[in-house]
Amino acid sequence: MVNINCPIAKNLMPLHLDGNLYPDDEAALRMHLQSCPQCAEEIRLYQDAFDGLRGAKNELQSIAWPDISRRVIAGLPDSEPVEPARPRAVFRLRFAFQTAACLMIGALIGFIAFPKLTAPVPENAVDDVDISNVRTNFPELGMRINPLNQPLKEHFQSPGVMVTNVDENSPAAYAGIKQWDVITEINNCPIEKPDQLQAIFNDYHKAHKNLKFVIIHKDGKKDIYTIKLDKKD
Amino acid sequence: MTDIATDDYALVKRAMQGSKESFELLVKKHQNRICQTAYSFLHDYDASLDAAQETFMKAYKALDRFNPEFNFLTWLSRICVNHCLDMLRRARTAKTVCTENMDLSPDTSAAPENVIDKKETSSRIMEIVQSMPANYRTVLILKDLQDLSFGEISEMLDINNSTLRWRLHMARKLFKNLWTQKEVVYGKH
Ligand SMILES: [Zn+2]
Repeated sequence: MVNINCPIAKNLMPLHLDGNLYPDDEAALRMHLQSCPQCAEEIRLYQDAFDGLRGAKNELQSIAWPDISRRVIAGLPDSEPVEPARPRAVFRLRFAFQTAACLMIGALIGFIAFPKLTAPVPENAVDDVDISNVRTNFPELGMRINPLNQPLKEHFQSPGVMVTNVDENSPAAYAGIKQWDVITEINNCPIEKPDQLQAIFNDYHKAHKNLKFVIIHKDGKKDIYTIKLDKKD
Repeated sequence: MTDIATDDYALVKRAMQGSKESFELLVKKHQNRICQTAYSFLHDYDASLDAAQETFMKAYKALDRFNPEFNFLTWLSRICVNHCLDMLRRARTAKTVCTENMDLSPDTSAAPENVIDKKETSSRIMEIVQSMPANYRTVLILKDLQDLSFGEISEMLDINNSTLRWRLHMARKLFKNLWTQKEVVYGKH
């Protein structure tokens, strides 16, 4: 049985709530909880939050809704595509003009007041975040990573990030990570893009805790490596 | 499962040929779930009814783009989720202004304790959920409030399983932190 420390245990908690952990991680977490009062308290908080969500879910399902089918059908266009009515088209045009004017004024003010700010990225629910500014070099670990493109994802039959360079005598090299390895998971968190590695790395590096990597090698073989992050002080 | 799906597709095909009765059957069949989904995002009864109506009307206009390999309800839900997120995005600026002038102190008027507690708890949950970043909020709502499977959510949001696991992981972590914080602020429990 693997002994895990508190940050690793904490990272296992969110998916433990409804039994979505892998069995060995689940066992390791349970064992850790028996001997760690802080994590036992932490899991109680998780459980409490999760129970709250469950209560909200039940309440949501108990709400009665009226039949809206008539409303919907009444609002449908006729079989032929309908031309928008004239006044509406005018309204739209005017609206478009106003919007354009506002945007132009806004852009002008923005240009004068904040010449260095780039346009904000519109928030989109399903699109992934822009990673063009994400760090891909981890000198602390001694490796460089890159996102996996679609053909490579298909080749490895897995998402992940590719290790494009490993420094000699670095922590990564000592752990056994090699150039062209693909990192698919760290500490039970699936890794899909470099910014995810960055987030985990920041958390763990601050806490001087270990990183457990799940790696797929060039030949498709899977391995698990641990990088020990030593205390600096 | 397959039966229901093919049944839906048969109705879709007839609706595309102009049968509004067929589309009405589809509305009747799925309206509850769509209203629920809308409510879990908007937390406003009337707005959710409007959003559900809007969802079905958008779906009707896009029927020719429905891929029969997919589940019709999943496809509808996807339209609904996008519509709700759109509404929230547009309302956000207005809302920020409004809440500034609102009395946010907890309502202490007398009421049967457990009733008000239950109500407050769930609206606090909705408040927290709505304050989360859209990516995380969406998966948390779909998984933990709508109880959908990983497969359904991946299909709905067009993301793969490991991205979904990652987002759910982060969403629950964030929710727990906000939930715990909030409890401290209001001195609950
Ligand atoms: Zn612990």
